[in-house]
Amino acid sequence: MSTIKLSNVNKIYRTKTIETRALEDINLEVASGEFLSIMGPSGCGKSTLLNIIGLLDNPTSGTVEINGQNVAGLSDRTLAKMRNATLGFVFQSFNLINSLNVLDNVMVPLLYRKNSANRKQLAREALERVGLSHRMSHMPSQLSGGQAQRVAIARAIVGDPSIILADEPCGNLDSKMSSEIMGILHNLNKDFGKTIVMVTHNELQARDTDRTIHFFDGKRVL
Amino acid sequence: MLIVYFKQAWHTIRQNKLFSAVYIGGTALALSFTMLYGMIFYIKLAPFYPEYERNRTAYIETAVLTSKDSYDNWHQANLSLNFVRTWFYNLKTADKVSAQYNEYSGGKTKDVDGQNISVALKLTDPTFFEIYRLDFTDGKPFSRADFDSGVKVAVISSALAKKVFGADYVNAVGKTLSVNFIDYRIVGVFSPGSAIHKKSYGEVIIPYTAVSDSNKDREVLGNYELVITTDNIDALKAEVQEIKRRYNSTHADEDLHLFDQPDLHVVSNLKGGPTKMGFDIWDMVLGILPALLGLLLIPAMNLSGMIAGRMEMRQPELGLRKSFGATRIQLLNQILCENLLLTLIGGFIALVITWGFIAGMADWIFGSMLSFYRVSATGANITADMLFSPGAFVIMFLICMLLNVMSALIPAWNSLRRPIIKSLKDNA
Amino acid sequence: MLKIIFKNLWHRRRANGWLFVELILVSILLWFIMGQVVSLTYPTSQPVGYDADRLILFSFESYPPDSEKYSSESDSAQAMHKDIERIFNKIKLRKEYESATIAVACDYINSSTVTISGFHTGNPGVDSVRKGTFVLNFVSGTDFFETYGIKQLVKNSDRSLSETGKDVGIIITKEIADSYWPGEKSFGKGVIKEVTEQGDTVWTPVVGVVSDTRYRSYFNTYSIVFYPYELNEDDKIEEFEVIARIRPGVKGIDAAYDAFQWGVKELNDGNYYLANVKDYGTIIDAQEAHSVGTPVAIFKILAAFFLISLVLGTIGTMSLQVRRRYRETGVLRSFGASKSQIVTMLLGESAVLVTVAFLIADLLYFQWAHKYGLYQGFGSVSYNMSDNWITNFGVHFIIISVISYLIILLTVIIGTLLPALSLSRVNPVEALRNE
Repeated sequence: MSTIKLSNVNKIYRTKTIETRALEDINLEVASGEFLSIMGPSGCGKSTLLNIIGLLDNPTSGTVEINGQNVAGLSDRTLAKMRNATLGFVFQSFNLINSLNVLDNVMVPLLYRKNSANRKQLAREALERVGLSHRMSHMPSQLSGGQAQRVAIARAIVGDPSIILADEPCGNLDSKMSSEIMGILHNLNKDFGKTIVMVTHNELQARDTDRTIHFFDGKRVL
Repeated sequence: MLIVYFKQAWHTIRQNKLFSAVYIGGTALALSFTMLYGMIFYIKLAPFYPEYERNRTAYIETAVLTSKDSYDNWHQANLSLNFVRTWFYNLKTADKVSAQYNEYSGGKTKDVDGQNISVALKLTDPTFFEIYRLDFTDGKPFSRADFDSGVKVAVISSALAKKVFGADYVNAVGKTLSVNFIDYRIVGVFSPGSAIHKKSYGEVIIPYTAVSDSNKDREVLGNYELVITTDNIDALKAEVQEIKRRYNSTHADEDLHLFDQPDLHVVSNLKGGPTKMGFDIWDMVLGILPALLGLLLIPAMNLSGMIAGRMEMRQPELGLRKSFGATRIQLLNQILCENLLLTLIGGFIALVITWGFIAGMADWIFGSMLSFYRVSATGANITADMLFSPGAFVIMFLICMLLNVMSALIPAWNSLRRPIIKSLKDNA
Repeated sequence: MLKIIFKNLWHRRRANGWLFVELILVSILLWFIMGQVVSLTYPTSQPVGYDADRLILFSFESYPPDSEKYSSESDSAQAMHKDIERIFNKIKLRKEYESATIAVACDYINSSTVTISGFHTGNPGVDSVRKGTFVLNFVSGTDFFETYGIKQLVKNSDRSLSETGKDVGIIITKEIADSYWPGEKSFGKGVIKEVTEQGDTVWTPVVGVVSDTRYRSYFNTYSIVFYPYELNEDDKIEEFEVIARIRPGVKGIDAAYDAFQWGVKELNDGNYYLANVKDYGTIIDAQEAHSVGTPVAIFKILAAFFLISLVLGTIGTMSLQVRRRYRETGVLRSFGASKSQIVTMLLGESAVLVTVAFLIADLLYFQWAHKYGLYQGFGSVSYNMSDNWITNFGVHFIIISVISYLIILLTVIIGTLLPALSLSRVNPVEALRNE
C-alpha cells in the first residue's frame, strides 16, 4: 500500500479576473520508506503539491490518500489530528518560534497530543538525534542557519510521524550546512524508515534520493 | 501546557518592551477606573464597621401626603416622631426598630482652641446601639433610662474627643460638651466609622428626647428616618403596607404614600430615591452594568486593535502550529492565556493605583455622600478592611477576565480563520 | 502625498479597523463630555451683574429653646422684629459699610434655595406667552439694589426702586424685558402673578428695569423678577441675613473676618446670635465648586481617561504597523524620501483617519442632538435662558465640534509621533536586506 497517493489532483486559484492552474491532473504514489525529490523551476507548483500532500491545502479536484485514508471531506479537527500524528514539516525558512527556546520549539507538536506525559524527554531525544542536545536552552536568534534547520528537523520528528515533508530545506544554507542537513534526512530515511518528500532546486541533492520527479507549469513532466 | 503559554508570554513581553508597556499601561488605566467604580459600590454595599448586618437592614426614609386619590398637593418629608411612635416602634415583623435624625447643617461646638466647628450630630434612640455595634473605647451608650428621662447626655467619637479636648481626650467621659448652645454630659467615647456609611455615622450622638421636637404637632411628616432589622423583608413590607392602608382609611381628605418602603440596604443604595417603585434585581444590574461596560469598552477596543496587530505578526507562528496539528480552539486558548498574563499584570498595577486613589482622595471621591454633612471634620475614614479584602481581589480578577475576553476574543478568532498556507507565507 | 495617504489607509483598512471604530466612539464620548464641560463653565466666565467683590453676608440664627441662653421673653414676634431692627441698624451704620440690606427665608442672591415661577406676559385681554424665571423677594426700603450694586435702568421717579412698596409692582432684569417685550418699553406691562382661588388673575405691573443679574453665577440666565415685600410683624423669624456693601479697596475675605470678630461681640440681641459672616466671593466659589466644579472635574477625568486610552491605543497600533512597513519604508528612503517626509506621511495618515472618523461621529451625534437637543447647563428647561451661543443650536454644535475635533486630532498626533519618528530612522540597507 502506498503511503501517499494522489489521483487526478488539480489545484486552481481563482480571483475575480484571473484563473491560475497551479496543478493539473497530478497522479503520484509514494511508497512507504521512499525518499522522493520534486524538482522544477520557480512557480511550477512544487510547493503547492507539498502543501496538498501535507494537508495544509485542499485540491480543487481529485483525491488524496494518506496511509490508505481518503482525506476528502474530513473535518478541520480530523485533519489537524492526522497532521499531528502522521506528518512532520521542515520549511525553507526554518519557521522557529522566536519567543521559545530550542527545547520548547521542538516540543510544539507534542502540545497538541492528548497524552504526552514525557514531552521534554521526547524532545531531548529528538535533539540528540540531530546532534543539538547541548543547545536546548538557547533561543533561535542564537543559532546559526544550519543549527536552526536541525532544530526544525528535530521538531518535525519528535512526534514520530511516518512522513516528513521538506520544502527546500537547504535553500537558505551554505554547502557545508546543506550536506549536514541532507545527512540527517538520509539517516532518518535509511535508519528509521521515514517516508520523505523533499522539494529542491539542487540536482546533486535530488540525485542522492530514491526517485526524482520533475514539474513544469503545474504538470508532472518526468 | 499553561506553563509553556506563560513562558512564551513572558518572553514576548521582554522581547517587545514598547508593545508590552503600552498594553499593560492601557490595561492598568482601564482596570483602575473600572475597579474604582466597582470598589465604590463594594464599600457602599458590603458589611463594614459598624454596619455588619446590612443584608438584613432596611430603611423607611420618606413619607408623602397628597390629596385623596390623586397626587396633587404633594408634601414630602421624613417622618415625624408622632408617626414613628404611633405606628412603627411596635412592628411585629421587625427584629429592631430605631429612629434617627441627622442634623443637616451640623451641630456647632468649639474645638480645643476655642474655634467654632461643625459636627455631625445624630439624634436617636437606644436601639441604635443594638443595631450598630459601635466599639466603645471608654464609657458606654446612653441607656433606656437616660432616654426616657430626656437627660442631656451624649456619646462622641474618639476623633472628636481629640479635637475638642486635645491631649486630655482620654478623660472625655464625664466632661461637658456644648453643642448648639446646649450642654451635654459625655457618657461614652467610640471609634468612629466612616462618614460614607450615613446611617451609622455621627460624631455626637444624643437621645432625641434631650431636645424639644420642632415637629411635635405634626402627625406624619417630620425629620426622622427609620432603621429596621428583619429576617423577613416581604412580611415587613406587607405590614407597612397595612399601616398605610389603615391610615388612609381613617383620613378622608389625604392619602399617605410610603411606596415600596422599607427598602433593604442594597436596594436603597441603588434605587435612586425611596419614592421609586418596582425596583428589582434587573434594575440593579442595569444600574451598574452599563457604566462598567462603558468604562471597559474603549480600552477593550484599544487592546483589541493592538492584539489584532500582534496577531498579524504572529501569523507565521500560528500557521506553523496549525501545520503541526493545533486546532483553532487550542490556539484560541493559548492566545487568551497569554493575554491573561498581560491583563493580570495590568490588573495588579490597577489595584495598587485604585487603592492609592481611594485612600488618598476618599473625601473627594465620596464627596457627594459626604456633602450631606456640611462638615469636613473627619472625612471618609477609609479603613484597611474596605480596601484589602478578599472581595477586592475577586472584583479585580473578574474584571480582568472580562476585559481579557472582551479585547482578545474577536481579533484572535478572526486571525485564526486564515488558511494555513497564507499564514505561513506571511512575513512580519 | 494625499493620494498616497489615502491609498495606504485603504490598503491597511483591516489593520486600522479597530482604531477607526475606537476613534468614532471616543469622538462621540468626547463631544458629549465637552458639551457638558463648556456649557457648565461658560456662564461662570460671564459677569454676575452685581458687585460680588464688595459684599459680605451676615447669617443670624436663634438659640434653641433648650439652650441656657434662650430667653422666652424674646421669643415673641414683636420682640424678634425689634431685635432684627436693632441688629440691622448697627450694621448699616457701621462706618466700614456703605449700605446694607436684609433678607429673610434665604431670599438673597446666590442663596442655597431658589424659587422659579412661570409667568404669562402681556397685557390683560391679550394672548400671552408663558416663561419661567427666577423670583427674588426683597424687603422694601432696605437699599436692596444699592447694596448689591445693581444698576437701575428704568424707573418712574427719582425714588430708588428699592423703595417700591409691597403690591405696587415688580422690578425685572433687562433680559426679561428684552425677551418678553422685544422692541417695546416694558414699563407698565403686566405679568400674571397668580390665579386666585376664585379664578381671578392678578396682574402685577412692571415698575422698573434693572441691569442683568445672575441668580447663581453658573446659571445661563439673567432672568430675575424682584418682588418687593414688607416684613409681617406677626411672623416669628428664626433666621435672617444681612448683606453689607463694603467700602472699595477692602478684600472681601478680610472684611468678612473682621465683621465676624466684631459681630460676635456686638450683634447679639434677644435670642439671635451671629452664626457666621462670609464674603460673596467665598459663597460663589463654594457653590460653583459643588455644582459645577465637581461635575466638571469628573467629566475632565473621564475625558482624560478616554484620551489617554486613545493615545496608548494609537501608539500600540502604529508601532505594530511600523514593524510591518519597515521594508516598504526602506524602499521609499532608497528612492530619496527624506525622514521628515516619512514622518509627515504617517502623521498625515493618522490625521485623515481621525478626520473621517470624527465626521462620522459628528453626523451620528447630530442625529441624536437634533432630536434631544444639546446640553445647555443648569435647569435648561426650567427657565428663560440667555440668548447666547450656548442656546443657539447651530453655533453651539459647530463650536463644540471644532473643540472636540482639535482635541482628538492632537491626541492621535501625539500617539503617532513616536512610531513615526522610529520609522523615519529606518536604515534602507538593513530594511532591504532579505530577512
